[in-house]
Parts: sequence; C-alpha cells; structure tokens
Amino acid sequence: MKVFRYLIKRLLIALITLYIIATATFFLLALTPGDALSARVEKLPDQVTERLYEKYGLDKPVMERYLITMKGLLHGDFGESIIYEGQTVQDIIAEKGPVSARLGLQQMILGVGVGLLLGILAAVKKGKFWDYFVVVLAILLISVPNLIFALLLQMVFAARLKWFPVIGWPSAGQWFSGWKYTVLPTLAGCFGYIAAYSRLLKASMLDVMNQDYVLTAESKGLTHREVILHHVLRNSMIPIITRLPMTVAMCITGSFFIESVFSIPGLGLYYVNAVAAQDVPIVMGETVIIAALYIFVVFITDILYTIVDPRIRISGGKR
Amino acid sequence: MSDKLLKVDNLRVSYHTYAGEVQAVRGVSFELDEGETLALVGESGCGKSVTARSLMRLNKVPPAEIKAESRVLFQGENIYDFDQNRLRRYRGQDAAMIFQDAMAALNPTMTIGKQVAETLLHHQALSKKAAREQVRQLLQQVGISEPERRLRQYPHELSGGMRQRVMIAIAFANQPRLLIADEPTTALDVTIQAQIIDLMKQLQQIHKTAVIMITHDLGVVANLAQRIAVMYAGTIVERGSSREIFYHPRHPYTNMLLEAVPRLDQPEDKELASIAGTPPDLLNPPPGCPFCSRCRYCMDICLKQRPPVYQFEPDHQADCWLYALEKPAEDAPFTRRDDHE
Amino acid sequence: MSDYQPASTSRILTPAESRRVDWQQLNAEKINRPVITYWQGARRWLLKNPIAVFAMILLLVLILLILIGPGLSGAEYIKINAAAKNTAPNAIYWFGTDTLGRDLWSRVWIGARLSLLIALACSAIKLVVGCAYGGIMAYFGGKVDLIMMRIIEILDSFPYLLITLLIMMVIGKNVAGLLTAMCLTSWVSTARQVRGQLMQLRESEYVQASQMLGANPAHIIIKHLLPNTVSILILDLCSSIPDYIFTEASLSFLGMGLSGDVISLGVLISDGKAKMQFYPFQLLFPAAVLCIAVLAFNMLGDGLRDALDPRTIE
Repeated sequence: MKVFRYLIKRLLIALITLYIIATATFFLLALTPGDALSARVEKLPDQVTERLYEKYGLDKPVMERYLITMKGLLHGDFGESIIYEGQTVQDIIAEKGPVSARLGLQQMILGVGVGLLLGILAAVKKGKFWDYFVVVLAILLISVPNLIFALLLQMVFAARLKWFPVIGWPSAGQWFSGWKYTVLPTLAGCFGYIAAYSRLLKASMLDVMNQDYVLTAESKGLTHREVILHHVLRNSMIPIITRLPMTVAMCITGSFFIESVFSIPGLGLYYVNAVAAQDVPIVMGETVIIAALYIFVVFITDILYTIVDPRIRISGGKR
Repeated sequence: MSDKLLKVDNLRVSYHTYAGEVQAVRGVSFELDEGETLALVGESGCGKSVTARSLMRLNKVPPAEIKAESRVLFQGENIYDFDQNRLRRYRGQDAAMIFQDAMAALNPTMTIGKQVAETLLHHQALSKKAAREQVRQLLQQVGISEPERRLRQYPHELSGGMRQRVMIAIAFANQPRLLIADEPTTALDVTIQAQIIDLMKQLQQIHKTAVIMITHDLGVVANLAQRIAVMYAGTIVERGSSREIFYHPRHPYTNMLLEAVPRLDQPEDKELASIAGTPPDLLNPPPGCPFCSRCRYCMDICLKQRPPVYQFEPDHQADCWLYALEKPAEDAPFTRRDDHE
Repeated sequence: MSDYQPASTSRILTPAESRRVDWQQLNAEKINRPVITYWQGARRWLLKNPIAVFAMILLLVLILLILIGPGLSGAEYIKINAAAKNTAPNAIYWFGTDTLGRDLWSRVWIGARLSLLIALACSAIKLVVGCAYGGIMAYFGGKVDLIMMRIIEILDSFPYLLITLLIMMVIGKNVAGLLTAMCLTSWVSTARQVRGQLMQLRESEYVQASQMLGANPAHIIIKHLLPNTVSILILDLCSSIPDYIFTEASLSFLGMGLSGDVISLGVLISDGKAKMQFYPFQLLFPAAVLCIAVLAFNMLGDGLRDALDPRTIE
C-alpha cells in the first residue's frame, strides 16, 4: 500500500512538472521574434500568406493557441510540422530516433566499458604508473570537448588519411555494411564517457577500499583478486549503476554537435534545427517527450538504488 | 622458542603522514602460549589497534611502515617473511580477527550466510551445500536463533550484538590457533558486552584458541585474560599476570588506570580518579619516559632517559624509574610491598 | 621480602637524577606538533602537487597572453589585409591569417578574452544565485525548502539545450542573451550543494556544540559554515568555468551563439571549421587555446579537490 501511494505521488509530480515545462516552452517560443512561417511567406502574396497562417492556426491569439496546443498534448497529438509538411513528431522520432539511439549506444558501450576498465586499473594500481596514466588521460579527455574531437578525427582520419567517410550515416538498408560511417562519430563521443566513468569508478573503489569490511575480507585470507571482485567492486558499482540510466537517456536523445559535424540525420540535429526554425509543434512534442524520458529515468534510478543497495528502502531514507 | 604460539619481538610501526612520521608502535614485544589469553590495555591512540593489525599484516603499506627489525613469529615463523600463499593460509586459518564495529566490518551488500561461507570455502575443500550446513551450525553455535533465516539476511537487518556474533562466527569458522579481538565489545550495550565476552570465552575453551584481547576497558578483561600488557604511547609499560596487575600494579600509569575504574565497593563520596593531560605526540616522541608529562612522581631522569625494565614476580615487569631509588618513594604507595596479603 | 628487586642492569639514581619535577608545570596539554590550519594545509598540499602547480603556471601564462597577447605580434586583429588571405603561420602572422587576411594570433587572444570573461561572469552569477537560493532553503527548511526543491526538480527536467537555444532566440545572439541563457538553469547544482552542505553542518555535532556553548551566530557562520562551504564553491568554480567556455564555443558553433563582429573562441572555431579542409591551422589554433584553457582549469580543480579534502590534509 505504501509503495502504491508512493507511485501515485511520483506520477502526480511528474505530470505537474511536464505541464510546467510544456507551458514554459510554449510561451518562450511565442516570445521569440518572428515565427515559423515568416521566412517562407516573404515573397508570397498576402492572400496565400493568410491562408497559410490560418492552416497552422498561427493567426489566433496566443492564449487560444496555448489552449489548443495543451488540449493536443493531453491526447498525445502534438500537431503537424510547419517546416516538413504532413510530418508529426511521432513520424520524426520513428525515423530519426534509431539513428541517434544507435550512435549513442555505440558511444556508451565503448566509452563506459573502457572507462570502467581504466577505473579498476587506476584504483588497483594506486600510486603506480597506471594510476597516473589514467588520471592524466582522464583530465586530457575531459578537457577536449567532443566537438573538437569530432572535428580533429574528421580532419585526420577522413579528410587526410581517407580511412573513413568524412560525413554521412548508413541508410536504413545498410545497418551493418555501413559500419565505416559510424566509426568516427562513435569514437568522438566515447571519450567523455571514458573520462567520466574511469574517474567515478576509481573514486568509488578507493572509498570502498578504506572500509573496514575490506579488512575483514583480507583477514579471512581471501586472495587480492577475490577481495576486489567480491567485496570492493560490488560495493563500488553502486554509484555507477545508478548513473547509467541517465547516461542512456542522454545518449539516445542524440548528441547535437557530433551529429552536426558528421551530418548525421539524428534527433539531436533535427531538434536544434526545429528550434531555430520555430517549428512549434515539433519543438513542443520533442521537449515533452525528452522531459518525460528524463523524469522516468530519475524514477528508474531511484528504484535501482533500492535494488543494488539493500540498505535503502523505497520511500525511505538511507539505513 | 618453538613452544610459544606467537612471539612478537621489537615491533615498530610508523605511519608516514603529511605532517611527518608518526611512530605509532615503538618496540613492542610479548609472547603468547597456546590457548592463553592476553589483554592489551591502553587508552585510545596508544597504538594497540595498530599492533593488532600488524599481527595480521593488515596495515596498509604505505602509509604504514613496518620497521625491518620487527619480528612477529607465529609457531616460530616470521609472518613478515611469508609469501602470499602462506600469508593467506595464516589469515583466516591460523589466525583470525574481530573488529570493533561489526556494522562497518561486515560487507553491507552481501548476505550473512555468504560472508561466513566465504572463509570456509576458501580454507576447506567443501561443497557449497556442506558449507551452507556448516554456516548454519556456526551461527547456531554463536547463539543466533533461526540461523536458516538469518543467513539470508543482510548485516543492516541484524542488531548490533547479533552482528558481532556473526563476526565471531566468521573468526572461529576455521578453528584458528590465534584470535585477535580489537575492542570487540566497545560499540555494544553493557548487557550485550557481557554476553559477547562469555561467548568468546566459551568458544575459546572449546577450540583451545589463544586470544589477544585489545581493549581500553580494564573491567572487560578482569575475568577473561590470564595476562595483561598495559600499553602507553606505543610501548608496553607494564606486563604481568592478571592478578598481579590488578592487585599490585607497578607502573604509575597502571595504578592510575585502576583508580579510574568504577567499583561497587568504593565509598560513595569518593570521586572517580581521572588522568589529567594527554598522551605525548608520537610525531616527536619524548626522549625519556613517555608518561612523565602526566606522572605525579616525575623525576629529573624521567625527562631524559627511557626507564629500564624492572622484574618483580617471575612474570611481572614494569618500566619505571621509581624502582631505581635508594628507598621507595613515600608518596607512591604502590611501589611498596607492605600491603601484600 | 624486600620491597622490590631492581633488574640486574639497573643502578641507583643519584640525588640530582631523582629530584622531583612538578609534573603540572610540564604543561601536559602542550601540543608539540606545529599547528597547521585548514587553509595552510590545503595550500601546502596544493603546492606539492606537480599537476596543480603546472596548471597554475599554465593559467598565469594564458591570462598574461590574453591581456597583452594581441599587442605582441604587432598585427591588428581587425585590420583586413587583402594581400595576405589565408596565410600559413609565419614570422609576421604567428598563427597565420583568416579568410579576410586578419591576424589570427591577436584574434585568438581577443577571442579568448571574451570567452573567459563570459565564463567568469556566468560563474559569478551562478555562485551568487546558487548560494542565495541554497542558503534560503537551508535556513528556512520545512515547507519553504520543499517548495524550492520542487522548483529545482522542474528546472532539472528541462532539456538544457532547448532552454539555452530558446533564450538566445528571445533575447538575441548577443552577450546579454548568452549570459542569461547559460545561467538560467546552471545555478541549480550550486544551490543543491550549498543546501546539502549547510543542512549537514547545521545538524553536525560540532556546530550544535558551538551553539550550546553560546557562540553567537556570526561566529558560527564565520568559523564553521563559511570555511566548509567555501571549499565547495571553489571546486564548483573550477569545474563551471571550463563548462561555460565550452558551452559558449558549442553554441557559436551551432550558429546559435554570438554573432556580428564579436570575437570569441567559439566564433573562431566555427569560422575555422568552414575552411578546415584547406587551412587546418585556422581551426587548430583557436581549438588548441580552448583546450589548454579548459585543461588548466580542470587540472587546477583536480588538485584543489584533493587539497581541500580535509581527509587528505591530516
């Protein structure tokens, strides 16, 4: 019963949050000078202009448009794109979502995997060469924005050495055969994860290694390997596991810069373009969906805490 | 000296900190027979926990440094010469350790059963099923009811006394020859303390285990230890049989410690003694007697030179300059023997 | 039976040796160890850390170049030299020239100047707003805290880039727009940290003990709350400055940042990208300066994190 009430409360808060985000986004878009049609109608006769405005409801007063938009949101109907005629948000997500998701997941699997390995290495070899190596590597990787990584990789490996295509993405039919297109974008995006996760795991492991129960494990005569695997790693994975959902959410919503550098037809690039073009229905739809995803992920994270750390109970504090 | 189970000779441990080298243990020596109980008594920071850990080679090196001349001989072998395999056999099978805070000393994300079974499986060739059965028996032995249910629980689901019982089960799992208990009852309620002490005593008698009991509480060791060593500022200042230490303390520090223990037979209006001041900073240990700055019998020589060891009964020694006087100090009654029964 | 049996090695003390010393005069409470305050300890730790020292030197050099760099080469950053378009780096144009023949060396330092100023301004706003918000939450607690926390949660759920882009469009692609856009939600993390720290301190036994002993609030704030919060803020500053430098660059790169005649690192990088196939130096130099600046702040922040952690000072 307690769990049920907790879930209801979380759901209510989520709905209120979504409502506020949608409202704020709408009015910010309304405040922006010009609108989605202004560039298009410049050279058109007044009559056509009027008809266009009527078609997208842009002739109505702000409050009325707001009500119409909100009513649509309630039904999951975000409206049609103004820029790309006839397309809805759902169409666009179905088309571009897989592209962003593939890129993001490839980056994440490579980045998190390598990052965790380096983190373990640094913690186990603390104070030795590999520790310093990982520390310096992580600082370097964090300091070079992935935008610049993307440009550098493109310049060296695509433009100069011609090992990989400069821009582009495998189209729907060449899921596997087009792998060459994905190499550079994946590399460019994974460095940030390597740096973040190696640091996180190292810090967490060093913290755990100072705990008394590691001494207990050592005093049982376990091998160093057993102590690290069964006692240290298990406990130091708690902050990692609880951070993963957010990483997944961030990477499937697309990385704007890498998609823009490599001209990848993903959600991120499209979203930026939609905002720039003030394509209200698309921006509203994507915003609400992304915000809902984030809220859901925070919820999942809270649930994960209770699973990986037996000390934490749902709706209760620590211990 | 192969008949001794454990022989610690001139143990010196330093910690290299940012401020400099802290000499936490400065030449500790003692011996332990099979099945014997020795209490290491002293106030916090006197180096007793560091001593305990170095008997299991558990000090983190660095920042710790075990000085080269230190010897810890277990059945005649120096544990600091052990290779990794021998060391792992020593830990858990020959010797085991119990820590002060069982909550911190148990892995929070592993069930009780697994944590006990781990040490069994590592040292004995057992099937998982046999190990589980042994865990159940062990838990029963240490007085945990419903062991079947308990072994599936996590440490935070148990009470403090229960957790310490689990620690004891882990320690006795492979019937070690030597048990090192680092303040096993300090974190517990007084009533639970007595139960835990009784349990340890009982198991010790069954398994004929030698115990080194580390504590700051003289009351705890009174009916547990055969011998007591009193530690102060990284050295042992007095050692002797339990009886000798309690009835005829020879070192002013021991004397004051005993005066600080509350007793029922004491007149109500008598105030409990306390020892003024703080122990010396082990970053710059004093050249003379470490206790001189808090000793009301302090003499000129005490500031300059470390006192020699004086032998009293066959098994009673104290390091104090008061015994080098021509005749006993009038105001230091414990240095006289008139009150011998 | 004699009173005691001195060990064979012992001797009888001379009267001088056995003279009593007044133990109370020995000043048992005296602390021999040199007393190191928290900040002294932190400074010494920091100066012993080669990476942090290197970072500080790097930062000093950068700041110096940002201040006097543009004048050093003798070429003016706005002067268009039609005869020297896209020149590769040489003795006159140390970093080469851009598509209009303007000196890249001086442009890079002018750009870095603006990028750093924007980052500093944003960080200052973030700290002030974050501290005030977090402080109010911790001070009032209860309902106020709950409501203010909900506001933070809502702000957290906003897609960050969306808010930034929208604000830039509403206010315009100028410095004011950039400052508002970048600060609007980023103070949230500072507020959270400050609140957490203050709450924890308020509950801590030493602050309560200090209150019980009758210390006045000013004393508690100056002696306990401030030092413990300042270290958090310093770390926050060190990690937010590179973040802002980077965000500014990215926005300019997307064409949503500064526009017009303003020069920032982001503007230079985005200009350089257009010609990177043919004149890679036009991208490499501004990108390298950006990375070095971010690197210096990150290294300093890393060193500070260790230095300000009381556990490492001892």
